[in-house]
This record gives sequence, structure tokens and C-alpha cells, in this order.
Amino acid sequence: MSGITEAYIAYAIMLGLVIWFSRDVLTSISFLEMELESLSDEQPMSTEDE
Amino acid sequence: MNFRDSGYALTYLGLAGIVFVTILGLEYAPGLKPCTGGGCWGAPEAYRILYLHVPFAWCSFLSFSVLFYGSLMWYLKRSEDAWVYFQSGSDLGVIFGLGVITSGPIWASAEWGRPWDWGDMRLNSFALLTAVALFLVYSRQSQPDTQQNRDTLSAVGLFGFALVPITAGATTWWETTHPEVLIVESSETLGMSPDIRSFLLISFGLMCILFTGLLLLSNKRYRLAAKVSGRKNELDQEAVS
Repeated sequence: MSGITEAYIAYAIMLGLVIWFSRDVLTSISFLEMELESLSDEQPMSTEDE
Repeated sequence: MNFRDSGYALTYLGLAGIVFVTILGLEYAPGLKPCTGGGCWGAPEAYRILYLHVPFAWCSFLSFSVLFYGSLMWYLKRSEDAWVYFQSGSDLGVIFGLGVITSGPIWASAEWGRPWDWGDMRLNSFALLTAVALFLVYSRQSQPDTQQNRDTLSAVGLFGFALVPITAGATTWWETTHPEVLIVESSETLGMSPDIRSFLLISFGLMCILFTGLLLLSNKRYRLAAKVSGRKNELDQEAVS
């Protein structure tokens, strides 16, 4: 057996890891940016309003 | 655009580079002769894993260095920025470490006929290093974010870094089944052709671009998370007062 199948499997795992992590970081950043924007606009809820 | 904002460009460039390395590594990279004067390879094509496995391993050491920097700076300054580096270093250590400890045994199964050698210092110390990073990531996520917990995790990060020189030097200091440090010490007599070495260095260069991009983006994520958390606390305090 030459081992080419194993090479394809190993490359798929390593590529998958970095692509998954990149996607996770980018998704988190856009979510946090939106959250920060909405929090910046938000006024504190006073105790009388509650 | 400042350096911190270049994370997006570097990440996309690095990802494109790694896809390029994958195509070249699997299809066009220089091959090994099945048999040489020193003996025959069990699976000569499986060595192609090395083109990504070795840069992954080197980048994992860079990640653990970032983790060490974050841990040390946390102790010295107790600054939020140090904690950002700690978090990014542990995340990247897990990603690159997992890549190494999955691709390595795949190559070993093909070449040696067994995925792991429990008597090999480098394999075991590297697995322990990745386990330390995994422990730090899970502990961060499962424990309350207090100064005491940050102190404890930073201590683990500092001591875990001691495994880096042990792992890096293992093949030189002890007899191991893991291949020796051919890239740095390589000459034509050691069996690594200059073509293979050049390709490995190109792959490492591209991996470094990706690593830098991911580090910048990860730092941005944790800085934003700290801002969101700070803003929520402010709103809570204003509402109470």
C-alpha cells in the first residue's frame, strides 16, 4: 500500500480544523460586533421602569 | 488599515495558501523513492502528510509561545490584553496540536504499522502539551471568569510551556522512533532532498501567514467579548443606581 489514501485523510482533517476555526472566529466577531452595537444604543432600564 | 485590522486579509491569504499547499502536496510535490540504500519505505506516498504536519507542529509551538507570553504578562501586569493573548494562545494550541496528533498517527499507521509508540518521548510529550491546551480551553469555558481562576490557569500555562523545549529536543536528546530533526540539520547525506525541504519551508511560510491572521482575529474576538461584558456591567450598574 502506498499510503496516498492516508495522506488525503490527514490533509482533510488538518484543512478542516483550520477552516472550522477560522469560520468560528469570524462568526463570533460579527455576532459580538452586532451585540456591542445594540448595547451601545441601549439605555439602562431604571428601577421605576421595571 | 492598521496591523490589527489586517487579520482578515492574512487569514484569507493564509487559507488560500494552505489549499494551494494541499493541492501541490498531494499531487505535484516531489516524491520519495520507494527504496533507497538505507532500506525501503513502508508507505512512500504517506510521507506527503509531512508537508502539512511539520508546519502544523511548528505553528503549535508558536501558539504555545503566545500562551506562555499571555500567562507571563497576566502575572506581571494583570492586564486584560495579557488575558486576550492567553485565550488566543490556548485556542490556537488546541487547533494546531490536534492537527499534529491526528495526522501523525495516520502517517505512523501507514509507515510503521502502528499509530502510536508509547515509549517515544516526542509523541507523548506533544500529546501532553495538546492536552494542557485543551484543559485550559475547557476550564476557561466551564469556570467563572474570576481573577483567582485566571491566576490558576495562567500557572498551568506557564508550567505547560516547559514541555515545548522537551518536545522540540526529544528526537535529539533521546532515542525515539519519531523521525529526527531533518529540516534544520538536513544535508543531502541525511536523505532529505533540497526540493522537499524547499517545499516544506514554503508550506511553513504560508502557515505562518495563516497563524498570524488567526491570532489577530482571535485577539479581536476576545477584545470585543471583553467590551461587551464591560458594557453589560455598566448597564447593570446604571440600572441599579
